[in-house]
Parts: sequence; C-alpha cells; structure tokens
Amino acid sequence: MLRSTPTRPIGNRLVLAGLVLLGVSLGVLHNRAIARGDPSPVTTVVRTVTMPLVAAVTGVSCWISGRWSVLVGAEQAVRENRELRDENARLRAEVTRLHEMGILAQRLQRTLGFEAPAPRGRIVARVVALMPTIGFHTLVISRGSRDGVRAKSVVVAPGGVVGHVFDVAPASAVVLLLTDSSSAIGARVQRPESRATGICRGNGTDLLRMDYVARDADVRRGDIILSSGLGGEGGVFPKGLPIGIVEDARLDVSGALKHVTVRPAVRFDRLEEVTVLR
Amino acid sequence: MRGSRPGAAAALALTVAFAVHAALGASLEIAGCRPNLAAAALLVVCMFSGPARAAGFGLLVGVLEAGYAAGLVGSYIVSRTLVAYVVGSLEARVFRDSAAVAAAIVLLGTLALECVFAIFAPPPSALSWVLRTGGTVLANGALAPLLYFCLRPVASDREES
Repeated sequence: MLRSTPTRPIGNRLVLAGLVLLGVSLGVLHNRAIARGDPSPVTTVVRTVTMPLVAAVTGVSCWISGRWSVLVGAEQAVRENRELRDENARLRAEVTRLHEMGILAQRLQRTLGFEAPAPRGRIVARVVALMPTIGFHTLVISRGSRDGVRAKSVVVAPGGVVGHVFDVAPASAVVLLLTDSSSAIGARVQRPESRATGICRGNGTDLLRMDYVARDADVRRGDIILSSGLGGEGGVFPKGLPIGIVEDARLDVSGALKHVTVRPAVRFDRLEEVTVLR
Repeated sequence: MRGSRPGAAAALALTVAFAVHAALGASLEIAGCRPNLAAAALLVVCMFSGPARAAGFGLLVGVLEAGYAAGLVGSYIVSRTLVAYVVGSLEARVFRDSAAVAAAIVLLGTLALECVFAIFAPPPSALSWVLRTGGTVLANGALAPLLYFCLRPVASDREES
C-alpha cells in the first residue's frame, strides 16, 4: 500500500551526507592511529563504553550453559572425569621425563654457548566476545594496555597458539585468530625426520593452509605443526608453540609446492580464557 | 514530528542487540548460517524511522561493529549508514507494519549491507563470501519476524488503536 511522499528530501540528504562524512573521518582517524602504532580512539571509546554490557551478556550466557551442562551432562562428566584422571597420570609421567630432558638441554646449551630465549611475562585474560563480527576471525579479551598488553603480543591457550593482538584499548584488546584470512605464522613440522618449514595462513574457514612447503618435503597426515619463530606476521610468534595437526598434504596444481591443510590445535569456539605473552 | 523517546529506546535496543551478537558470537551459528543480529535489528528499527533517523541508527550500529572488528572502521560505518538511510526512505512510501514485510526487508537489506560492505572492502575469497553472506541473509530473514515483534513497541511512535 502506498503512502504519502517524503516532505524533506533535501534535509534528509544533507543529514546523510554529514553522517557519511563523519563515518569516513572516523575511519581515517582509526587508520592513522593504527599506522602510528597508537590505540585507535574510535575502537577504544566503543569498547570502553560497551564492554560492561557485552561482558554481562557473556557472563549470563556462560552461567546458563554451565547450569545446562550440569543438568544434562552429569553421566558424561563422570566418564570424562575417569578418562581425564587416566590421562593426567600419563601426562605426569611425561612431564617428569620432559623435565629431565629440559635439564639436559639447558646443560648442553650452556656447554655449547647457545643463547637461551628470555622468559616472557604472561597475562591471563577472559574472552569477552568471540568472533563478534561476521567475516573476521577475532576475539575480544578483558585485558588491555593498562595491564601490559601491546599490539602484536602473542596470545596462546593450553592447546597452542590462538593468534596475536591487533588492537589495544586500556581495558580490552582485539585478538586476530590464526584462522583469519590476514593471519600468518612461520611453521615447522615437529617430526625430527621432516622439520619441513612453511607459512601457516588463515583462509576464513576453520582450517589453516601451510604455504611455501617444498614439493619433496616429508609432510604427512597427523604431523604436529609448531611455530618456527621465522617470518609470519612480523615474526612475532616465538618458536615451538603448537599450531595444529596436518589434515591433508598433497602436491598443488602446479606441482612445484605441497598444499598442506592444518587443523588448528585450539578449538577457538570453546575459548573462555587465554594467555597473552608479553 | 517524531519524539526523541522512541529514538532513544530504539538506540538502546540496537546496542543491546549488538551486545548479544558480540557476546554469543559464533555460538549463534546454525547449520553454517550465522545471523548478524545487530544488522537485522537495525533494519527492523529503520522500518519505523524516517531516513535521517535511520541513517543515525546505521551510524550507531556501524560504529559498534567497527569497535569490535579488526579494522575497516569507515567501511562498516558508511555501509550501515547508507543502507539504513535507504530503508528509512521507504518508510514514507510503503506501508510496512507487517512481520512478512519485515522478513522481506531484512532479507534484502542484509544482502544490500553485505554487498555495499564488500564494495568498500573486497573479500579475499569470492566463494567463501557468497557462502557466508547467503547464510547470514537466510539466518537474518528467519530472525526478522521475532525481531519485528520485539522491536516494534520500542521503535514505532504510532499510536496503537
């Protein structure tokens, strides 16, 4: 059904032009701040104002899902508890063995004059918003510049690498996940017989693509991929962090390189806390 | 003349919709289709607003989304503002106080939002963009009737008979 025509088209267009100009100005302001390495005033203000509301919704959602899982998953929890106890016992033995190997490695490093990497500070942060914008694989954490988080700080979870800090506000930070299409990290196959290197990139899906792997590189399904400490997004990722497991490895169309698909070690959709390495 | 109370209430409702969208994030996805709750709410609210006010709501949602995204601040703000203005412009021409029309507007509006955004910030992979956008359009369309009934009381300044 048709209604009357608009009465103030010119006024409305002026308002639109003003708002578009404001939007472009905010975009330029943001880009300039990021280019200088400063916190963006736009994202800082938005997140500072809205963070309590988003955090409250996240808290309520976690509380409800926690209560729900207690109600429906008690039997499963008992079974998982038993399995985790067994796994814990196995891992304790493994930790003891690795501890001994660590002491041996330190002794050999000292003997050979190797420079040991400096220990990094750690900041534990709560995940406030997980992939809040469609099309970007990001998460927002509850710690920011006043806690010591800096742009390009590496973010990890117990399973492995999560990503790196992209934008920092005083009380929050945006983390670019490994799976985002603009993420890249230097990678290496852990298996001693292989040690093939490449660059793991996100492609906007749940999987990663490992590029620049030589055609004769020994990469197999099930291989563990670690950060190589080389290249990637400004070379910010330290060496030896778990990235994921090889799902598929085959020659690419040209036949010159290997096409390797990697499943991330971390389930990003289940993250509740992460650790920021300073 | 429209009062400021429905405008303030609608702005608050949009902020809450965005907060829910940001907090629940990926867990809102069903069968690969993830709704953009903030965009769907924006389009429904714009149904009851004039063009200038709708553009203001578009700016608000654009700023909120940009604040949690990894960049592209200007693209978010301008794409939301333009599409909201167009939907608001229809308010004076077409009677749209119906859940079915809301679903149609949210379907087409979400598609327009994603297309305008893609013009400003071209996606790296066209195929993944088509799949993701298709999922978001369908999910938003499915949510539209529910949002229409929830947001109509706060966004509309028409007197109930």
